Amino acid sequence: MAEPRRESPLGRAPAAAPNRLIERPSVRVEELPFRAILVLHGRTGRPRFAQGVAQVLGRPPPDAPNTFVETRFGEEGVVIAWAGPEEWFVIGQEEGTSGLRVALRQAIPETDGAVVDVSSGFTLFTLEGRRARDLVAAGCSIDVHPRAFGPGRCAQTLYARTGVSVLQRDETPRFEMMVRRSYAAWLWRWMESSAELMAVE
Amino acid sequence: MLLIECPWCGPRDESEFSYGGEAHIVRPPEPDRLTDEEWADYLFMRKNPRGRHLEQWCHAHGCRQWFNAERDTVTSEIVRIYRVE
Ligand SMILES: [Zn+2]
Repeated sequence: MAEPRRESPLGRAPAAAPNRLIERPSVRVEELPFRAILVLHGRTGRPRFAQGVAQVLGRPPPDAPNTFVETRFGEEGVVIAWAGPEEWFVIGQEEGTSGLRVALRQAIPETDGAVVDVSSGFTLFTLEGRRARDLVAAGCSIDVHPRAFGPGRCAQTLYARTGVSVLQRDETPRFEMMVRRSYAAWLWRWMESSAELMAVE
Repeated sequence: MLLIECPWCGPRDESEFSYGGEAHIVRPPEPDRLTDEEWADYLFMRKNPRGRHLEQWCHAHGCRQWFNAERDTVTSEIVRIYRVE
């Protein structure tokens, strides 16, 4: 029997992205495939939910809309991003090998919250460099100017007409964009031609 | 293009939202006691005013929450946004 082989959502469309890297002096885009992505449901007002999350991730999920927090699961860097009044995305490192889902499931009583593994439904891109902000702004209607957006801020919106979550990870600026896997190639092509139209060096 | 103030996310582009029709339509507690006319009225008949209208919106491509808005159907000005109780 053949060994099971992992193919990233973007890697399935090699014609769209032969080298799978947009690399220009002022902006760099790369796929971050195979990340552990969970949807967490619950009410932070319910102690057994908030404490369960805090027990595993060191802190409860953020209540402020459109914000995320960076935390750790053991050695692993993890993000908890607000997705709705009772819903968050938990984004960890390696899908499958990460014990995140099991740990959260064990810490949160089933009556107080839900943990769903959606890793295989999404992929992530990182956008960094001097003009990364321009590339984000080119595809969506949210205000990503530093006076309105910044590190720790996230938003679910339409980018290039498809639903994405955008997270600003730092001030350099570095962004992450999470998209449904079947839109990976579409988004990639869109960003590639936008970088060209913007005359990104 | 309208700028709609999601109660959770703040002002967002109209394209992120979906429209849910007239607000505050309550399902009759005992549908089987209704006449056909009353049932049809509940199902199909809407106010459709010229002017202020109370309606439902969903931030479909954002936080996916439903909320209510009072909108002027002539100017499309949104005069009030309020949460579903
Ligand atoms: Zn919203």
